[in-house]
Amino acid sequence: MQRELGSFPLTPGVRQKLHSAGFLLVEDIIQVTPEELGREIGITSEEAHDILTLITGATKPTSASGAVPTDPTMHLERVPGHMTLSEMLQEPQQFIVTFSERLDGMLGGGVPLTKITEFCGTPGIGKTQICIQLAVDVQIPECFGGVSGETVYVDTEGTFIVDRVKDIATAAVDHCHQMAAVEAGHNPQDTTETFTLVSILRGIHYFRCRDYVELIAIIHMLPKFLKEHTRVRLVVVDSIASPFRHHFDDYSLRTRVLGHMAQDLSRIANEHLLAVVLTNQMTTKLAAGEGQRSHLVPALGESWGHVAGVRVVLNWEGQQRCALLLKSPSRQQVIVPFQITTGGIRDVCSVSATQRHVTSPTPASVSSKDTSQGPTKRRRLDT
Amino acid sequence: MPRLRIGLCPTLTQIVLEKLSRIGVHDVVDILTTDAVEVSQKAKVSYKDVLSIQRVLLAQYSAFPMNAADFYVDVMSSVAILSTGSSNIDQLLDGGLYTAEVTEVVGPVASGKTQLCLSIALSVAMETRQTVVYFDTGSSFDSGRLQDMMEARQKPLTQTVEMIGSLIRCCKVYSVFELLSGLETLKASLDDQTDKLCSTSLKLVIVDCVAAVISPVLGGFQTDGHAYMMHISRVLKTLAVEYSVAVLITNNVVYGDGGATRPAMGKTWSHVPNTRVELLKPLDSVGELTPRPQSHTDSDHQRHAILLKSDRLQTNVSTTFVISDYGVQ
Amino acid sequence: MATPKAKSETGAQLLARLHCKPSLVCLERVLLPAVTSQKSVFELRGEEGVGKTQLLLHLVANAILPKSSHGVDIAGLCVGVVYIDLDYHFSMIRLTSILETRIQTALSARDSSQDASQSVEDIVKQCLSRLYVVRCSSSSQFLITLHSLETLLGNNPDICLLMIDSISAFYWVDRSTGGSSTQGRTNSNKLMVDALRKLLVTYNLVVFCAKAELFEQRTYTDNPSASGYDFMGHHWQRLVTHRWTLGKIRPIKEHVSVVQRNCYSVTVHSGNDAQKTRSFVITDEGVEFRK
Repeated sequence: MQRELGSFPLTPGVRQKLHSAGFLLVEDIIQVTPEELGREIGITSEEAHDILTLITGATKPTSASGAVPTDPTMHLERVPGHMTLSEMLQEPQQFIVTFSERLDGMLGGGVPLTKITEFCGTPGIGKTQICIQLAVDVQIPECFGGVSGETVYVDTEGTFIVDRVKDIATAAVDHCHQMAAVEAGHNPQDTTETFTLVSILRGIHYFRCRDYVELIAIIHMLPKFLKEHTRVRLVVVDSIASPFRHHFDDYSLRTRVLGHMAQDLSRIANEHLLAVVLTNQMTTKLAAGEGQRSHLVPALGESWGHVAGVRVVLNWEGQQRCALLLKSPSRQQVIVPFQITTGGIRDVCSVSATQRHVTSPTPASVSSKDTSQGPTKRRRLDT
Repeated sequence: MPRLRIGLCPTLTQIVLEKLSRIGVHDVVDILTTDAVEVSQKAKVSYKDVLSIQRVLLAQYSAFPMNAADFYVDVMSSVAILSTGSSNIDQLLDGGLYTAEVTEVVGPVASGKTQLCLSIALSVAMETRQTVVYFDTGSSFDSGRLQDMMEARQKPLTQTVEMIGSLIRCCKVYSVFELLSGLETLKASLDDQTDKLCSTSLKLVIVDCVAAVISPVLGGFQTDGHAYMMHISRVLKTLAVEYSVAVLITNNVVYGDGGATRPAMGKTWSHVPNTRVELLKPLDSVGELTPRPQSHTDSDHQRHAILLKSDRLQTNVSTTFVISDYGVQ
Repeated sequence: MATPKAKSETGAQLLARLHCKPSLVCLERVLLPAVTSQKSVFELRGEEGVGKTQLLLHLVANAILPKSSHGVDIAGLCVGVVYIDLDYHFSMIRLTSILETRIQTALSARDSSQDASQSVEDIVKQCLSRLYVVRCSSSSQFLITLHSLETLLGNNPDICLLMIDSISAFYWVDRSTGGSSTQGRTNSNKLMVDALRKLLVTYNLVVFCAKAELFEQRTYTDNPSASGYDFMGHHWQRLVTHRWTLGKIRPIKEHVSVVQRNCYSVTVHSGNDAQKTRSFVITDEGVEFRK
């Protein structure tokens, strides 16, 4: 194989030793034993063995005996994470509902699994409320159209309040029980056993972290944690911005750290089939030139903006909370109103209030489409 | 530099190798850059042997100059132009994406880069029935969106979703090394005649977004990141030129002095693509978060595309396109 | 290694070496100094998208076009060129379209009755047969290739131009493998410069190199020799005899034609502080200098 050894993740020291000893390409090194390599470049056989494993592992599948197979056929299929579109389409996209029908409609059905969704907004707009709502909703049993998962909740601001979780969870449980009572085919007994306040609280794995080092540490250990807790379908980081917004003088370092974190979160979302929900603060972007005025934009800079596949900005419009879909791979930009009740996130009941966006599906069309799929039929709860 | 070893050429025996090594001639470059007479006298190897070693090694390790007349015939027989599905963008690029070129799409958040990539991927698969490989560094590859686009485009259901779906391959990569491995494996697949990928020919490779994996390794006081970046650029160009594939990559923008945008990843990368197209949202909706009273007009879905760099065409030409159910129009 | 390989020289190589190379003054009347000696090394530096490759292709076209065809003056030099494409920037499509336009314009000026298309294609093919393109994948391959070019240059005495696009292609990769010490890099640079010097001295070549600007603009805009810094190292710096700096000119008027909107500048730095700047536009015929 003609790949250069310099393109492997080797330490600079090893890379230079290999290069000056004349090992340039994979084909130069593939036939060499660890002992020979160690002798040639002056490292221990163990180190040499690790290097060879790294290189052969990335280029050729090793057989059970550990020997390099004689037939070096390669297939793109061997690349981890490779799939054809038709394979992907066989796995339907799953969502976590928000309990606001119009918010779900805006997002195409809810917060999507395998993707990163970011909620941005000014303090008090309800970012944490949405996170708690999702942490509860992810646990809705499959018989009610949920994903029956658990949550990892990373709290960087200390705004996670258990009493709020209780309120929201109780409302969700009540709602599901009512539904079970109304609809035939569900045994209310089943749901009371599996979906209760206690089970919800047990299904939220809470991490409090105080600075960016702790946050990096938590994200690094997440893959291991998720292997042990396979039911986790939601990772919340509330908020991603606060550890990075202060006491961070080196902006280029910040960009790199954030970039790495973004890739780690992206990998977690895809490999563990879960939704990653981040919250972000807003910052003022000063007017760049004439004709433009200063306005609020999500914090952490331009390059961070590419990280989340779905980006929602929450803001006030008069007395009304609104959600603007700023970025989505599959939906057009729309604005929908929502409200926060004791029971959590809900649609605004009075239809007349802010019925102005043509693209947002009308409540009627959504409820007809979503038929009796459960949690979205929450209007009964609203008082 | 490649090391001298037994088996490189018949004259290079164990004895000759030891003699050469004694006078400090260890690798291919040592022997080729030293005069044959000098080597022969110092190492006490026959002059004829040194010459023959030099000749064999030169032939083996040098690149072969190709006469441009033959090269022209090769290029003309292999070049293909892939339609992007949007007539305006095709016009901007003089027909579409050219094979053997690296085209970069650069733009701010939500300017339609991924939409353009998805749309082109689908156009190529549907119209030319060629394979597309999509390297996704984030979570931008949205299969649902592709399915919607496919259904919107397919008036008579001539091609099954299954068939088109099997032509579009997606690889999720989360680090610069995974992207390198993926691209190298792809190259190896194309070299291997028995590989499945060879039977259906590959015409388009997309990397969306290349900055997401490269930017984290750039900067600081180490230069390794730049080396990895150049390895990526080299393998992309090799794929493009030697396998006659169109390569489409996306890049972010960064804000420079005075709020002007420029492509991310710095000066070194800026030389890499053959063609660069910048996407912009119309000015009135840039960064505006306050909802406009006349929301949802066409301008919400309209984007500008500007040709910033091209080998073949006049630059600074712009056009518009619309993101719709069909993809990009 | 600079000692001439007297014993290994073939008769053909001897001829090639002694062959009287045609004058290159006509290669580019606007930019080249009145007396362009052979063995000159021109460095074209600039950011991306300022026309480095375009200028190289323009020079290639001037070199490989015939002096005349069908009794029409085409104003080419009819000499051979080697183009070392290290950055994969060489565009065959662009080069052939320049050639075609140039030949077509020349032929149509004389006679429109003849079926020109066939003869144009033939002339283009003849032109292209004078050009050799080499692509290298690493700096060691580039170095070895420079040595191997002796055979080609020996067998083709009409080659008098060597294009390198671009000399900075392997900078970062070499930096990561060459170690933290600059010593290793300087050595490998020296080997490359030595090989290049040997070629151009032995075969009377003129070399044009594109050099990508890899770093943020420093203060050398006024005078490149003032800063004295060159990321390619001092061996390279000493080899270069002429420096051209390319740049983009912002259009003054907004409502100019597309061609006029993209105006570039090239500043020619000659040895003694004197410098002149010319502006050019890129057209179908290559590069067109403006008054």
